[in-house]
Amino acid sequence: MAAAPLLAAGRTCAITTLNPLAKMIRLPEARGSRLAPLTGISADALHLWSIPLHTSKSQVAQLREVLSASEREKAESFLLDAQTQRYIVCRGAVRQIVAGYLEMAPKQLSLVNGKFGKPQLEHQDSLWFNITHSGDLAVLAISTIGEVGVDIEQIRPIRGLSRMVDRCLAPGERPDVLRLPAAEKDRQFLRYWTHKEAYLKTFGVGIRRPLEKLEIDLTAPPSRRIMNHFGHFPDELAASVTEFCPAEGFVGAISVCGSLPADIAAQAWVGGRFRAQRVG
Amino acid sequence: MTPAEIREEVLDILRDIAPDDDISDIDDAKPFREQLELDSMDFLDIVMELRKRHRVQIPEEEYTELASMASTVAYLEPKMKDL
Repeated sequence: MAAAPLLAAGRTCAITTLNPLAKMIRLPEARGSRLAPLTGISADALHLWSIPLHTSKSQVAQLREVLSASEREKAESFLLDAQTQRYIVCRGAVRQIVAGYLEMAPKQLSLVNGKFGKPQLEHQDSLWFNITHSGDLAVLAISTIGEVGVDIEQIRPIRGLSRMVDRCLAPGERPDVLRLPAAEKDRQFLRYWTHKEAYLKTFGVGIRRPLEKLEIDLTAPPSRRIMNHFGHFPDELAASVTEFCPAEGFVGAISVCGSLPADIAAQAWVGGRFRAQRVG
Repeated sequence: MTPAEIREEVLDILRDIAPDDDISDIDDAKPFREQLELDSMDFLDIVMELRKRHRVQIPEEEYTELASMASTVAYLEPKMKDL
């Protein structure tokens, strides 16, 4: 089948990130989007894919077929059918999209877990990915720059917000949440949380570090958002972090080892159409 | 607390954190994350709830001990035996 067309005009969200005050990257809605070409990715590319996890049973069944035996086993181990479905769609979409970049069949993709469980490509040192999900939405980040971490959170009331603030935010960050009206505290906390998660996921370490010793400046340029990394004040760029809007009612952040490119391409994955063009 | 009481306490915390899940069917030997959709924040919530309810301190480097119900109960047993 011929290569798929570019995203429809107006659907691609390539927004400059050099200016720290630039308009926030906003992911396109999945509905009606078209598939972007997957091959020919440049050497300093960073792509974000939004993946709606709620889909039809027939699509779930087809996506299940591209999973590995261990992924299918894990899918069946969830206690709720909805969780099984979300896992299958998420992993199936990751396989389809990543395999598209590598011009491989999704099922042939060899995914392994890093030391702390971060999924990664086996025998691959030029393409990195990371996946996050919250509610019925997942976001996949693809990078040719270096290791990448991404995190999204649906904005919601946080259980025990004040103790979360104490546990997860640096002393200098806490007033930035606590000074806000009640209705805005959760969102602001989640902005910090997604920055920290994305940054730690870049290095594959998750939350096994004292989060209150990782200090973020949400107003700084991406290359200087990490102010204090567990007692170390980095004077050289370790990772760049910036935020994006995955969808209405969500916050998100992405981090990459090195400098962020001028443009981050944001695209939507649509199960049926993607499958028809790449696999069917 | 006995191991059975610790297990029930952990289940009670999980019921608060994941109210939609039917955790009565949980397999003690399997990782929580393979049975429940627990994210990092939920996980931290478990840690903080244990501290709030029982003053149990769990350092970050020992979070991996809480991977499954069996490993959690085994890890907490010496910390909670006198409660």
